[in-house]
Formats: sequence, C-alpha cells, structure tokens
Amino acid sequence: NAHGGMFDTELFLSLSINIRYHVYFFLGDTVQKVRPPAKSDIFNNTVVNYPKVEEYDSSLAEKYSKHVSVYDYIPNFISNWCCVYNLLRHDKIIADRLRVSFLYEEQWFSVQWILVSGQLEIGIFTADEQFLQLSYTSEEYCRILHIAKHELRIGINVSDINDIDELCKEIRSQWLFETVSYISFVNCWDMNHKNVLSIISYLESFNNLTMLRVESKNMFHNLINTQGVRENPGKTIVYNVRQNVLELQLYTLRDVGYKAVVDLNRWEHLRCLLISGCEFIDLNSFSLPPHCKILKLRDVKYVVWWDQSSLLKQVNTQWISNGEIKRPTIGNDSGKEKEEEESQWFKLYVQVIQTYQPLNCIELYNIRRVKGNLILLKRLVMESRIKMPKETKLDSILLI
Amino acid sequence: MHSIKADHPCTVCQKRKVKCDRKQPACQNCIERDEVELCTYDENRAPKRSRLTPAADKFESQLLFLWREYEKLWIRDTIGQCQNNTGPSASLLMENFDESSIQDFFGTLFSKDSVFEILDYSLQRYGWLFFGFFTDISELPFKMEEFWDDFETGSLSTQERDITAQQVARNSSLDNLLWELILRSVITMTIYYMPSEGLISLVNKEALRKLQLDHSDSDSKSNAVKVHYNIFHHCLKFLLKKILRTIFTLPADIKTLQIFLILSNTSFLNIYPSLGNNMLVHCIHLVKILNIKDFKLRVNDSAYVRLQKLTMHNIWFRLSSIDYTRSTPNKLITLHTENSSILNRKNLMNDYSVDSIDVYDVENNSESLRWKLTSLERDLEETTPSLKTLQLMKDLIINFDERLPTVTRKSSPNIRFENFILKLHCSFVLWKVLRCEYTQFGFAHGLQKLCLQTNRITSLVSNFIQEGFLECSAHPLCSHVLCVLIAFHSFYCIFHDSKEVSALVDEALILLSILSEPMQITLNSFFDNISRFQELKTLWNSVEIADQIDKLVHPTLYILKNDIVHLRNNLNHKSYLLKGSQEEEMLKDEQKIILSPTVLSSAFLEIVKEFDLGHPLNI
Repeated sequence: NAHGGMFDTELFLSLSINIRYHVYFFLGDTVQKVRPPAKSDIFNNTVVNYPKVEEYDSSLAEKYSKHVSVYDYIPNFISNWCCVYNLLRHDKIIADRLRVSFLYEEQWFSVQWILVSGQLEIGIFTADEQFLQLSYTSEEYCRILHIAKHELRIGINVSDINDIDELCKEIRSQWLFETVSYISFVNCWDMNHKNVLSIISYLESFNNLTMLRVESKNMFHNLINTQGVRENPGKTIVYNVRQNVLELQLYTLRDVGYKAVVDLNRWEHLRCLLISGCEFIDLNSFSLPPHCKILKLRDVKYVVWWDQSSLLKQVNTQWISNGEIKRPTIGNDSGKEKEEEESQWFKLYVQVIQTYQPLNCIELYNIRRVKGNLILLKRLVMESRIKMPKETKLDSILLI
Repeated sequence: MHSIKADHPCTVCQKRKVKCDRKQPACQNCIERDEVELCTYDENRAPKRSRLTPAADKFESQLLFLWREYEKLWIRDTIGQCQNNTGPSASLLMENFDESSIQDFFGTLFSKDSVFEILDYSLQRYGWLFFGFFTDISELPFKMEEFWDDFETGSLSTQERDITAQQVARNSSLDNLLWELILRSVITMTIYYMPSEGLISLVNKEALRKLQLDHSDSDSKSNAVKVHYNIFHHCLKFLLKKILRTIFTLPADIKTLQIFLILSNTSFLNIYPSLGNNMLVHCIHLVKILNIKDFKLRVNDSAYVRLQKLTMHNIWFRLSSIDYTRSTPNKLITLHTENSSILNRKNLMNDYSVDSIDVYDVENNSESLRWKLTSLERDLEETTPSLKTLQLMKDLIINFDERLPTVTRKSSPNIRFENFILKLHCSFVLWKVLRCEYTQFGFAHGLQKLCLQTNRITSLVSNFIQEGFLECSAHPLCSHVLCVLIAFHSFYCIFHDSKEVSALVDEALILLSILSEPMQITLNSFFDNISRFQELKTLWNSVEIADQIDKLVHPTLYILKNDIVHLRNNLNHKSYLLKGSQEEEMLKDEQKIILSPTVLSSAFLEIVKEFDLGHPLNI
C-alpha cells in the first residue's frame, strides 16, 4: 500500500478465518463510533462530543427516523450517523465480519427484520441497546453470506419501533416465514398493545421459530409461565408454537420464583433456558420440562439453590475428603454393614441427581451470591458442564 | 533500440518461473538461451493471481471435497465391508456349514490345561475388552471348569450332534450352551491378542499338522505370526458355525450380546462383514427386546441391580459405538441414533428423537467416554459442523484427553492397553477436527497442525509397539486410524510436492505393514490402492492439459471421480436387482454422463484408459 501506515484491507482479508475471527471477537458489536450511550452511562454526565458534519444525506434521517430520532438529544448524533451509514453498507470488512459471525454462529449482532418505508430490510443492531447500526436488503445480505434467501435465520423485535402488523404482512407477501428463527419482546409489557396482539396471531406461521425472548415480568407471566393459565385465545402462545421452541431467554425480570411457581412444563421441547439480569432467583420453584438440559444464569444478584439440606443430613462424615463425598470402598472381606453403607451412599447419590433433573448443564456467569449448601455432581463439574464462577459468594460446595 | 514491453512475462519465463524483462519480440532470457522462436506472449492467459485467488482456493477446496466423498466410500464403506471372493469369508460361505469340515479346537488344538492358561492370560491382560459386559467376572473360570467336566465326561462330545433337539429340550442346558459360546469367544479373542510364540507353545503340535494350519516347518518369526492367525481363523470359523446354529434358534438372551461384543474386539467384523452386520442387527433387536436402555439408577436399587444396570450401560454404549462404525449402505438399521449428540448445538438438537439417551445423564466410565468420542466423530461426518462446533469439539476432546488416567510402565498391561486405545481414539477424533478446519475453512497453518497430529498418532502407536504390545495393536481401531491417515496424506501428495508429508506417509505405511498381519485380507487392497496413488502422482506430473484453464479437468481427477462411481456402484444393491436388464445399462450411461459434462478429447480418454488398464482399482 502506498500509504505506509494505512490499514491494508486486502492483506487483512487474505488472512485465514480463525485469525480474523479473533480480531472481530474483540470488536464485538461495534460497527462505528456513533452509538448511543450504554444504559449504565445514562445517568453519567459524560456526553460524547460528535464532530459537526455539514454535508450528509438528510433523507436517511427521515427514512430511519423511527430508529434514530430518539437520540436527537445528543448533539450531532444523527448527522454523524447518516454520514457514515451509506459508506459502511459497502464496507468489505463489515461484510466479512457478518460472514465470519455467521460461520461461527456467533451472536455479536442482533440481526432482525425491519420495515423501512414499506420495504423489508435486514437491520444489524447492537446486541444490548438494540440500536440500528446498518441495514441491508435481503438480497444484499444473502449475497454477503453466500446463502440462499430461505436459509436466513434472523429475528423479529416486538417493540414500539416496529409496526409488527405491517412487518408480518410484508413477510407473508414474500413467503419469508421460515427465515424467522427468534422473536424477542423488547421494552414491551402491555399485553394489549397492538404489536403483541398481532405477533401472537402470526406466531403459528413462523415454522422455524426456535427461540423466544422476553424482557419484562408481565410478559413472562402472561406468555411464558403457564402456571394457572387458562384458555385465553388470542392472548397466549398456542400449543403448536410451544412445541417448536427450543430455547427461552428471560431478561430483566427482577425476581423469578419468589413466592410463585415457575412452571415451564408445557414447553415440552424446551432444551435451554437462559435467565439474565435478575435480582433474585429461587431455583426450588422451577418446574422444568423433561428435555430441558441447559440452564444459564447471568448477571443475577441472589440465587437460592435447590434445597439439599435434607441430603446433607444423610452424608456420613467419614465419606468426606477434600470437599468430596467419596464412595465408600468395600473390599472382598466386607460384611453386611459395609454393603449397607455403600447402598446408603448410592441412595444419596441418586437423590442428588434427582434434585437437578432434568438439567445436566448449568452455567453461572456473574452471580453475586448463591445461597444454600451445594452438592454438585463431580462428573459434570469435571467436564465443565457445571460452571461455578470463582467470584460468586457461596456457602459451601461438596462434590459427589 | 526502442522495444515494446509486454504487460506480462513471456510464456517460457512463466513456466520457468524466472524474471522476464518482457521485451518484444523476444526477451533477454530467451535470447540468451538461444530460443528466440519459443518466446511468445500469450494474450489470452489467465489473469494475474494474487496471494489468495478464489480460483486457486476453489481448486483446493474442490479437491478436498472430492476426497471427503472418496474416503467415505472407500475406507468406511468398502474396506472391510465387501464380501471378498478370496480369503476365509468366502470359504465360510462356500462350505455351507459342512458338518465335518471344521474340527473343534477344544480337545484337539488346545488341551484343558492350555485353555485355562489362555483364560488366565486373558483375565490378566485383556480384561477391559470384556469385563464390563459381565456382572460377575469370577463366574468365568468357574463356568469353564463346569464346561470341561461336561466335556470330558462326554455329554458334550467333539462329535457334532443335533443340538436343538436334545439340548434345548432340557432347559438347564440352554444356559450352558450359551456359556460355552461365551467361553469359546473369550478364548478366541484371547488367541487373537496373544503373542504368537506364547500361543504356539501351548498348541498341540500334532493337531496343528493334522489341520494343515502350519504351512512350512521353518521357525522364522513371520511364520509364527502366520501360524498364529491361521489358528485364530480356524477357531473363529468353528465358533461362528456353532454360534450361527444356536443364537437364532434361542429365546432372547443377553449372552448373545456378550458374545458379539467380545468377538467384535477382533478382526471378526472385517473378515466376515456381512455376517457381522447381520449379527449386529440381531443384537440391536435383542437390545430392544431386553430393554437394555433402562440403566438409569433409581433410589432403591440394590447392589445387585446397580451392577446389572452398569453392565447394561456398558453393553449399550459399546454396541452403539460399534454400530456407528459399522453403519454403511450395507447396514441401515441403526442403534446409535438413539443416543443424542454430546454437543449442545441447535442444529444437532433436532436430529435425534426426544427419547434419546443423553450420555451426560448417566455415569462416567470408559465405555461412555468411547461413545462420546464416537458421537463427536458422528457429528463431524454426518453434519457439516460450523466453526463454533469445531471449537467446542476441540475443547471437549482436550478435556477428555487430560482426564485420561496417566499410566506408567508399572501399571498393569490391561490398563495400559485400554488407555492406549482411548488415547488413540481421542487423538484420532482431534485429527479429524483439525482436518475439517483445514479442508473446509482453510485455517492458518492448518496443514502443519494436521501433520503434527499425524505425527503424534504414529509415534503413539509405535511407542506402544516398542513397549512390547505388538499383539495389542491388532485392535481394529488401530489399523483403521492408520488407514485414514495414510490415505488422506497420500491423496494430498498426489497434487502437492511435500517431503514432510510423504515422509509421514512412509512412516505410517511401515507401521501399518508391521501390524497388518491379522487384517491381511482387508488391507491387501488398501496397500494396492495406495501404491496406485503414487502412479497417479506421476500421471499428474507428467500430463499437462494445454487448453484447459480449469485445473479440475485432468486425467488424474477424472480417474479419481471414476473411482467414486465404481465404489458407489459396488455398494449399490439395486444393480444386482437389475442385473442383465436394460435398465442396468441405462444406469451406467447415466453415470457416464455425470462424469463427463464436457466432451473430452480422445487423447485425454486414451490416457485414462491406459492408466485404468495398468492400475485397476482394487476393491
């Protein structure tokens, strides 16, 4: 390259995919400098100063006003956004980032269908604040990923930004139902909102829908938790849809299972449950369907572990060594007593298994406090199927 | 002199890969070499290639895609799956179970004392191969004693009798009958794994000569090995005869599974592929009839029930692993699909039924570890894994590998043998993951990493042999791994000159030839085809296609594609149905059309034909 210090795009793109992956990994979901402040920064006084831009395509601001006009309180924000928007759409590196993230099945960006002046487009959002960074038409997007249109797996956001009814109508008119793989209810808590009502009526058509995400307690109790729910046609998710869903993500619910039962048994094919951003979780109140093997907890302040106190009473103190409840070994000359002891151990062991059933993979991440004396299954801990972060405050752990 | 400069080097310089001063009509190099008339500037040449042109990439990836198919058809589906017309499998078929043709090996070849010695040896050294399938292993010598008592008193004479009528009538002897088969299969398996010298010293020399298993009288070592495996084949043949006449006529019994699993440790499935597959299908039915799947522990299980469940657990997972390695177009009924994948990937979740067994719900032991590895292999082969999945697989395998117990020279041979096989399996699956990374995604230093892993595997095997476990390396997994490694690297060598890779191939070939004796029948064709690859390499280097820009149109590749068609035809049962009819011709024509979409020149086809005549594919 003539400019010695410049970034050589060609050279970078000729690197092999695993190297590029690691570079993109650190870039995360940031595509450009212009992005709204994080939720945590809202109450700070630090305001980013964006340079004044004279020339920019003001029609863009109009076109995407639904997504960006909220941020007009930040000086020069929208003009800067418009300025780079068109350039970025044709950026090779970003196209490559999308491709790599597709190949690695990474969810760096939240990719969703949006409707822009009557046209379907694929919006690339930041993962946390759901801020539109870029958008492509579906043809462009498929060309970038080198896949056919029906192989797309993207989502729909149910929020005030979108007009769900029109969006779904457009999806129907192009027969793109199978491209929708997840639906998230963002900033949305009113069951009677017209977006919620219309998405529920369309849910059955999305035959590849595998993941649902809710972000409010109200939605969780009305749509996900089936405890005590009666027939409520038009306002609940129907059986057929529930059968398809493999994953549920629950965000910012404040408390889960506090003096209430969380009954997910009707999500019969559920495999994975993610709970994030909660104050309080009581795992004792959970009732999971038989195939739900994975539980992920993230950013939770206080977790009440399954109650294993009755099991702890059964533990013979002689069994414990190095934080492990070891199986008593019996030799050839062992009598009835020893055999009895081994049976007791096994009884305890099976009961421990049963407290976790059907789960066999539990991931904890950024948990402040776990209450309860835990007995974990050694074989799962050894294969990192149960991940206990070190910084979490715990009472005690025993392995069995 | 003012000369016009061309915008690219002349064709001669391009070929010689030297710097051309691009002068027209002739460049300085050509003038110096006195070849002015050859110096031309081709205007229609391909555009200049940059560092990683898509065209070059495409060629590589298409090659490797071709290989994926080739390997699957050749190594997985054909080697050890096709009934050979020569070798013992054919003779077993032809004999049609002639009663007198095969003599018992108990009483003739082996006396009571030597059988007990073999059993002792087996219990000491090869326990891991079959201990897991029995609730109480100490029963074995006891039953053996019982058997010999019966045997010697003549109630079970060496003379063949109609078993079904007399013995099944007595209900008690049903159990004895199966026990006899179990004991015999343990002995046969041990014969397979015993050191040749040790075995021959136990054999009755007189009987050996009478059975004509001893071909020459020279006492060279290679002869001892030959005699060893002749004895094994003889015993296996006799045993199979006995098994086939009994197991299908008896009520469902778990012992049938035990017999099959014990025998599957030997080269049995490779020598008698169709028979093995059919027995396997029978076993799958038995597993379902006997409800082996129910091995989850419950709270009030007694010690005995726990032991029983552990046994069922072991049988289930061993059978699943064997079942996966044997699933080919020749065997479509499967068991392994009832286990779910060990990866939590969305695309894998849907593939298996909801009632499938999740290996993480059950206990850990070496059988479940083997299944986990096989399951990873399955995910690699049957689906196209994403990069994330590959990463997860690598992490898992490394985790498994680290948790394998460390063995020292002091550990018992039994543990060392088991550990070796698990380690080999781990490294092999890791090799496959690395290969996938290299071939499908072109990772940086992918080939180097792969070669490093190949090196690790070969040194693992050769160390094991040097430690005095030559007989143990006759395990079928061992030769399978080496075959895959050799075949892949030889294929790579056809198209690329790499001293390192060909050195690796040579090393692995030497290893494989050391331990090829027990698998001789299946491996002969393998060796033939590997040397055929070397011929292909000379063809690749010597023939140049002048008017084709697409490198994929080359006789070498045409031959390889042709091989795929041959292999597929060979496996295709429909063609047997259509034999002689017109449709068969149509089928052939169809394949020909697929092969040559563009009309090829006669010279091209001549080369192909000549090569095929000189070096036919050995299947």
